[in-house]
Amino acid sequence: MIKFEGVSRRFTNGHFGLQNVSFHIPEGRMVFLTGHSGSGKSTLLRLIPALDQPTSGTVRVGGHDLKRMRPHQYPKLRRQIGVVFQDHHLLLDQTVFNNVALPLQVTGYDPALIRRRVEAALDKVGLLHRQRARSIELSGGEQQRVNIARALVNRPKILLADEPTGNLDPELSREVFNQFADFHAIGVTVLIASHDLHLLKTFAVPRIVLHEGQIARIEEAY
Amino acid sequence: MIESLSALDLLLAGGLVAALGVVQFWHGLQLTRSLLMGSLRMVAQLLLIGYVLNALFATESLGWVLLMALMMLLLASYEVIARQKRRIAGWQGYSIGLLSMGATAASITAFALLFVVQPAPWFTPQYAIPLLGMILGNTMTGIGLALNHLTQMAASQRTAIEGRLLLGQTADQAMSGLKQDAVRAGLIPTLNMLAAAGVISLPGMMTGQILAGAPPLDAVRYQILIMLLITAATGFGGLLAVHFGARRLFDGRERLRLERLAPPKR
Ligand SMILES: Nc1ncnc2c1ncn2[C@@H]1O[C@H](COP(=O)(O)OP(=O)(O)OP(=O)(O)O)[C@@H](O)[C@H]1O
Ligand SMILES: [Mg+2]
Repeated sequence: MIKFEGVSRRFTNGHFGLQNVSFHIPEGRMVFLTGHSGSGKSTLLRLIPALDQPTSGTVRVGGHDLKRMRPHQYPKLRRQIGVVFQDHHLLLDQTVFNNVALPLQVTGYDPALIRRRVEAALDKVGLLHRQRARSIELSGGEQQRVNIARALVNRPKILLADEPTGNLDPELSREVFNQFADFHAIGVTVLIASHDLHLLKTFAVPRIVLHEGQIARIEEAY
Repeated sequence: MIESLSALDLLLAGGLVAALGVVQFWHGLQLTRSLLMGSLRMVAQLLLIGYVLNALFATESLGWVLLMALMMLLLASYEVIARQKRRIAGWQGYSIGLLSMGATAASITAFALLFVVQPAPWFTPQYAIPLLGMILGNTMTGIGLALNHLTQMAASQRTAIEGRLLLGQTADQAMSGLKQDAVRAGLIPTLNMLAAAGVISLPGMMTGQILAGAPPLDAVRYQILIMLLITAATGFGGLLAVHFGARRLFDGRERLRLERLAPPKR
């Protein structure tokens, strides 16, 4: 489903964010991406929805070489990928419902269908009762769960998360990870970047460990 | 009946600026030098252009007029990009300025000469050069502001734009709001100019014509023409520049390419 072949990303300042990275995540697998701050986790994740491109090597998603797609295929690809990214925030002046509905409105679905899907997604993250609240009224943890609902409302085939538990307490963090595990259980391919080793260790999930832009090792689940 | 100005007249006016310089010097302001240099530069530039225009008006040749117009256009498009806080790097930046300004300012000036003012011949430099100059000066400001808004907003709202791309929007959709804002930003001076014309400020060209002895109503008619031309030119120029600028910020893979902007300058 996600395949990196000798991928490097060299920034304009000459620094290598990633260097010769190869791995393969088959469809329906859940994998953690870990490593110290600055090891290249965000750089790697940005390549998958083609927000950024490698300076050398090949990234394949769902069988497509991301370098060789037609322009109109990129938006379509991105709709099949749900993301919970470090720095992508909610529209704070909008209601919870509207925030989650956004990805569906882009695709122009029927309003009744949008309502059903949004409510189902909010129910999954336990926030159905807050759907009319403005996002700014929610706590950090609740906002993060809205983010997750938004990433999932489009029923993506792939879920990417970058430090999804950044500002959550341990209990909420665990809950968020359990939710990802639930989506993995229904067949979604999940890749989560996190340096919360404590939490990662409690899941039987393989880990790709990055160090200074290179894969230091791949740890199988145990 | 035109009261011609002698060199002595101008020296008297220069005395005012010199007095200002002396007062500033007393107050320890570090401005005297820039004031002096600025004034001298202005005088030199205007005298130079005066002689150039004098020669140009005497020739009445299409070739020289076009050459002059081309030089004005190149200078103006250089200025547009050079003044950007975050300009689009490389030759692409300059060509966006040149293209949007050339396409609008040149064609609107030609339109005005051929169909509105209709001097004979149509390229008569007394008409062509001042018209082009005024239109260029204003489109330059408008396009500069529009592009500046576009690039700065794109840089500061990177995550919001990428968030929209991730939702599956195309580059056009993700940028539509920002593009509208940028076009609006470029038109603001023009809108202000239209609102203030004749009420808060007497436009410079009209004042000049009246001082030079033209009947006020004739001067007003010319001023109206100029303002309409300027409005059209800045409006179309801004649209074009924002369109090309936004395209340059994305690539064929619908990705935002902020590294195509030169590093910020202060
Ligand atoms: N646009 C860029 N230009 C230059 N260097 C960059 C750029 N983006 C990232 N880097 C550098 O690449 C390296 C990897 O960054 P990245 O954001 O991928 O790390 P990370 O593993 O996600 O870290 P964190 O855990 O802190 O989020 C860092 O050294 C960073 O400074
Ligand atoms: Mg990161």
